[in-house]
Amino acid sequence: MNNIIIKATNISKKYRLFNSKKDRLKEAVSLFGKKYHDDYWALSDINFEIEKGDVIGLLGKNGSGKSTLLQIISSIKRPTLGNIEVNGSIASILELGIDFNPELSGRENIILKGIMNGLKEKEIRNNLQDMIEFASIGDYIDQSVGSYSSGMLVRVAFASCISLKPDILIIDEALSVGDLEFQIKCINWMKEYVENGGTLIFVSHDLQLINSLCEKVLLLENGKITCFDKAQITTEKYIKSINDRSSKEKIIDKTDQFSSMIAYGKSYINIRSIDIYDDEMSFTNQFNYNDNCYISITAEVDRNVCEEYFLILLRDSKGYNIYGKWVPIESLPFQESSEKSVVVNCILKLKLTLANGCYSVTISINKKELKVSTNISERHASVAYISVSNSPSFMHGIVNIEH
Amino acid sequence: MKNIINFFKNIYSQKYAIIYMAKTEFKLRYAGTYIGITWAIVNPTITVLIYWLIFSKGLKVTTPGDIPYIAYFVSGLIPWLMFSEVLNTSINGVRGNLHLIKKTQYPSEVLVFVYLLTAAITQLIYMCILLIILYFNNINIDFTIISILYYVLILCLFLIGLSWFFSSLNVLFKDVSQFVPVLLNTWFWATPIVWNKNIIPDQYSWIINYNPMTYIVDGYRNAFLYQDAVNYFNDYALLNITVYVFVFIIGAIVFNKLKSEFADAI
Repeated sequence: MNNIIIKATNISKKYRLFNSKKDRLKEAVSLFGKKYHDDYWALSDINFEIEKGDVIGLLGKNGSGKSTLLQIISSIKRPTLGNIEVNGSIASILELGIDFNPELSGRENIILKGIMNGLKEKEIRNNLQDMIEFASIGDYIDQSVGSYSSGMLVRVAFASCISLKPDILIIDEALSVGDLEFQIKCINWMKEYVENGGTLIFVSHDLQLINSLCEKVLLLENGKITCFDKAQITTEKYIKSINDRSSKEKIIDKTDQFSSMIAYGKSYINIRSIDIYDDEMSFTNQFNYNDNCYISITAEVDRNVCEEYFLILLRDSKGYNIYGKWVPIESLPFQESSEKSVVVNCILKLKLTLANGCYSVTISINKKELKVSTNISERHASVAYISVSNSPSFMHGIVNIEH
Repeated sequence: MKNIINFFKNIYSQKYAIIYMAKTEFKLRYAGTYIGITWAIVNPTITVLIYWLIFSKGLKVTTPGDIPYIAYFVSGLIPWLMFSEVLNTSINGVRGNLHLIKKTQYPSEVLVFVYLLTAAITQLIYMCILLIILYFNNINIDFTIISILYYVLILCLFLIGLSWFFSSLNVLFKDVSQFVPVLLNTWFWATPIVWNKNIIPDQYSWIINYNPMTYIVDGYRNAFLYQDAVNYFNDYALLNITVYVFVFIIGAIVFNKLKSEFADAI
């Protein structure tokens, strides 16, 4: 098994949270090892092996420890416990253009980065033209980096990495800044790089990209690896974990269910429950392609807005609106009514001819049946999630339109 | 021990980076100015002129031997300028690059070498000015000037150690960046640079005898002015050399120890 290029054994990373700088000093000079800090475990007990030539995706919510793990792999930080073995050179784009000196030009920064990674100036100059062509930002290459736009930065950052010919390349969400043309260029380059035996670690929140690029995906949750498997499997689990989280909250406390969601407006409605079920009337939010999905919303609506409309939106994981339906509140069956408000129930039936992924439900109240969404009285975004799997492999888009 | 060996190996592997970084550092220092590199000559010349006017013409300070004051003063000032410039820039070097240290594999330990090389360029300019002064004052120099290399070496040793020590501490305790300039200011006047060391009363002679910078300043003067540098091995030489090596090693150990804290520091 000489093929293993990165091996992590029981890695844990503890951050010491000091209340004040004084405490840091006290602890540093303390003779008896007295503790002056609170522990925060950003990573705990991480074990994995990455073989040469692997393309690994890294998934996880913000704050799940992705960046810390990458910093440990690229030996910027040391693990508190455990051991990491890396058998090869690493180049990383962790944060966009952060390693550039803003006063130097793009050209000089490329040279500097190469030299700092152990190349000789002459070697870099031989490849310089290729790199500048790759970045293709024209005459800007001789302007100071401080004047670059973020798109230019990512171009130069990427170009500076390609000459390093690293054994391991780490890319942390940087790509999304580039325009489409450049993204395609980079993805093609990365594919070539992997074909030539390079190892790639790729962080993105773009599940489609991860699925198409990576063989295996590592899922981090609260500093622990919860899944390290084939891309499809891990992304499914990731979607499921988001669902589980929302459904768990639903069981515990119905009123608290929406506290983590984004809601704004004048609070004319009070959503009492959202139930999602299938044809057999069993509650679930896991669906297969082409299943029927029923979304039942029970809400207490202020009498003042009874003449307005519900707008129920289905969004994909990137927040694009996939589908929206206008429902006049007056047309809904009343369950209870009082002087001030009525309780209505709205059931939506959707046939999910959608691609694999996670979709969210958003409810708004709008004054008129307008096409623009500026006239919102109130909005409850992402109040429920559904996930779709087993969509046909030939599907390229998000929606399968009947034809 | 193994850590320290790796620490030095690492620095050696960064030799090309050090040279390139020094080049850009020097360029950036004067980038955007109209007369550019000329500032590197104007600055030292003005500094020398002011001190010379005040101490030689104004206060009429005397010098040992027949050496004109300006030659005496400039030869002592040169090592001090190197010392204060490098220490002043490097204490903030690591802290100033913290954003890089946190996000990239940044070799923070080589920064002091970058600043040393940058300062070396101004040093050369000063030395040229000094040679011109010596020429007009009919002071001959012979091969013993080579001994200057020895003094440059021990100055660098001392300076690197101190810079590592203070710059790493400065990451954790910002007070260091306030303390060091005060230290340097006091130190400057406690070293016989602008004044003649013969004026010190005997009971205070320990101030200069145990001052590690005196040995270096005197060494520079012996190399440039008195041509007896080879014989310059007084009672305090061994003590001073021990101090330089000790400071260098302590600096390396402290820096290497604290380096892992840098990325986690706030």
